[in-house]
Amino acid sequence: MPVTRGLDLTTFSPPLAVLSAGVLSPLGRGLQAQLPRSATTSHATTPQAGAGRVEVTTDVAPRGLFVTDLEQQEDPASARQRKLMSRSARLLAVALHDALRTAELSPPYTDCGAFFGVGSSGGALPDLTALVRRSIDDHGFSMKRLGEAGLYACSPLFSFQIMNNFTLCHSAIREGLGGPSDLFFSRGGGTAQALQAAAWSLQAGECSLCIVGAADTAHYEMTDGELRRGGVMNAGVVPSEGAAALTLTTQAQATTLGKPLALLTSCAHFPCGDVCSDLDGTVLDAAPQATMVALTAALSKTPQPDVIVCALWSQALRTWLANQQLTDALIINAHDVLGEALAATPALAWCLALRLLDHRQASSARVICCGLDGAVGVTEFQRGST
Amino acid sequence: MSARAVYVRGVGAVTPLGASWQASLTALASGKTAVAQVTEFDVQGFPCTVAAAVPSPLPSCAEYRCPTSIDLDCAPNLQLDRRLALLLPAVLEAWQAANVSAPATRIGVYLGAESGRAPLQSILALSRAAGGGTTFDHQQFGQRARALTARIDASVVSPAAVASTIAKLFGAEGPVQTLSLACASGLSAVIEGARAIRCGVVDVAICGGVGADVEPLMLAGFGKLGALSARGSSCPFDVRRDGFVVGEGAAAVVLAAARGNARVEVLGGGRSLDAYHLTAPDPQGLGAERAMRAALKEAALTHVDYVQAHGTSTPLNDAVEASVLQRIFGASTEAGMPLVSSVKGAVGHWIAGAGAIGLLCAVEAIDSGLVLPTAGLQRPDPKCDLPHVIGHAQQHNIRAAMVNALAFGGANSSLVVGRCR
Repeated sequence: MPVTRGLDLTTFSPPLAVLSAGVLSPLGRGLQAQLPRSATTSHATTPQAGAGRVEVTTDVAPRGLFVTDLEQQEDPASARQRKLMSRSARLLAVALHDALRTAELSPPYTDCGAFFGVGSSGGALPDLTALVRRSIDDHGFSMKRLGEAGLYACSPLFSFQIMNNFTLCHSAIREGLGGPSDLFFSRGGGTAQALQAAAWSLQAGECSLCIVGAADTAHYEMTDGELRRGGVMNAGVVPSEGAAALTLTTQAQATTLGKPLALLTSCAHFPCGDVCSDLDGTVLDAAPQATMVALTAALSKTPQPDVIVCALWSQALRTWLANQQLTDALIINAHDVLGEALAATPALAWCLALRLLDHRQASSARVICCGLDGAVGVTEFQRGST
Repeated sequence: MSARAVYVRGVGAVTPLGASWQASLTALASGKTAVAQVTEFDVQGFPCTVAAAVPSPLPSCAEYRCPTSIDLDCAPNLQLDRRLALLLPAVLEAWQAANVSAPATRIGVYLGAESGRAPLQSILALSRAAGGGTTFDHQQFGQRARALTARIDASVVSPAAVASTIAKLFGAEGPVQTLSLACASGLSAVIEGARAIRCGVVDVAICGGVGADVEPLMLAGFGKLGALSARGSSCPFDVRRDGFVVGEGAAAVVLAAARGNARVEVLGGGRSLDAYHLTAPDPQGLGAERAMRAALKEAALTHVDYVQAHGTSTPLNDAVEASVLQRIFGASTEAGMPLVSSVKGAVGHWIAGAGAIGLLCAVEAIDSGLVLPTAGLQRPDPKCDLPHVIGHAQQHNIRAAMVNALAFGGANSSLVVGRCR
């Protein structure tokens, strides 16, 4: 299967097939829920559908967007498993299970690859608190007390929980995913890399089925601290969370599995050149030139799709978007309905695009994401057909 | 995947046995181990009180022999982030040995790294701000701790900060990837870098991994998990093995599409998930076997001369890995079993950096024929019946070698390297 690297995008010829999607976002659970609408419960706003119009709204709640009732979401995880999961892991467990279930594939998934963008694992802070509390001696932190008592106050899994693959492990074990796997630490850009890695893995014949996506929460206490320290909250970020997973296969394989939900025609990841910083403040000063060049190229690339979903992390970038001379494509500002879910943002935006493809009977959609790391991810889908 | 060959143009490392790969080799070849009592902090009461630490102090900025093109001002956290302080000299060594040139946009960075650590004083302050009681008081945390979070510098704790800084220092404007797959991070990063070259995404890839986990929280946490050696010994495949020993260090390779003077190339990579258990390997090793067979398949080989095993010195991992190697290379293979060793006996387990230092051992075996021993291995476990390299390094004609990295959580990576075809 040839890959041609064009000026802007890595194009798949023939396209890859998206069999299904599982998603849990502030808009709700499942692809059907991802259509933006005036839902006061989620603080979501409705982008006005109109040719060439970009909706920039600001009436989201300042404290951010949340996936509500996560604990009540049904999935096959046992109560014990749920207790061991971080919030990101739990979000992913639901989305990943839904993606496999709606693809109507039969286990075992020994050949199924798993490629995800992940943020900080979200090791349990109550564990850390307990560990520290038991390690105090004479009003100070005592290594001796840590060894004698502190470490016995936390979960045996504590050290493991702070590794970032913890987000996927539960789901991989429970669903029996046995194929190739890579997890990319992501503030947005890395998630596009996960999609590229999944596509390459399919093309290389490393596996015949992939599940690809991301899970993250900007509400994890340590992440929240990082964002505030970096000044991100002052740049118009609405912190959010979510998880999304797509099942992906080759078109040849898809023909035996039924009509695909959509076709993945291309994806690309543009690093931000000399400002490859990660929340060290540099990206906050101004978007690097490489980022703006990539965004401009992604937005104006022809032929234009019917729908463009833009997930741009800062208000400055969204304002820039609003000032662009746009074509006839419907442009959706995803941040206003999904917030900034860091690693999960691109994957949530993919699902928004897939939902819009179906809802508007559109033939093509492009997702343009720019995360906190300054990198730009571009993904193009076509309406499904074999 | 067809397309381009991927050549190993340069290697570099900072290990507990030496400030460079070349400096480490002599000690590694002699079977020396760096495992010793932890002296950097009080480990009284810890389940395991030994580690393989890189001696302090680490080199200062002035001691790095940087080319003039590298501006260390781009790495303001060099002295704060131990991961970066370990990795930078390793990358410099590999970069200088590689002698490569490519447009900036054709150079990518692919590194395995986990999160860095906030200072314990900051953690203590945050904990107190969250109530300091038996439960984590989120409300109190929100009200009192936000000011304190300023102490947690994202550029020190973020996994991505290491790769980002390396990219800036070396002027790499291609993809910058941070792989976080626990113990498989470093080797998976090399696989991704090699893939990017094969696919034509980049011409040069700076790859590797770093582990900086000789610190109280990880030593306590892994100890609590029961994964560390209570005896205080790292002796992979030995009957006396009772757990791993935490080590630290960094290893880097520079891969390129152009052969240059390279004598070793990356032939194939394979990855898999165990889908079995959060912390224990599948006792049948089916996932590990899939990764190894996938790497061999991509390399178009059925046999290698040498395996740098994951070999952690834990009872289950070593036995499982040995049984998989026996299945793959055992009696049915005319060429017989390959030589096997694990560098973790000498330098401990680097977690995110583990696979990367293993790769350097494999490259060395092909390049110079020097097959490093498994330090600490004296009495091989009959359950791990393999052609071990014991005592001192041996000289062999190694045409191809496999490296394994089998992670907590069940992510497996295997890589096959060989003499340039």
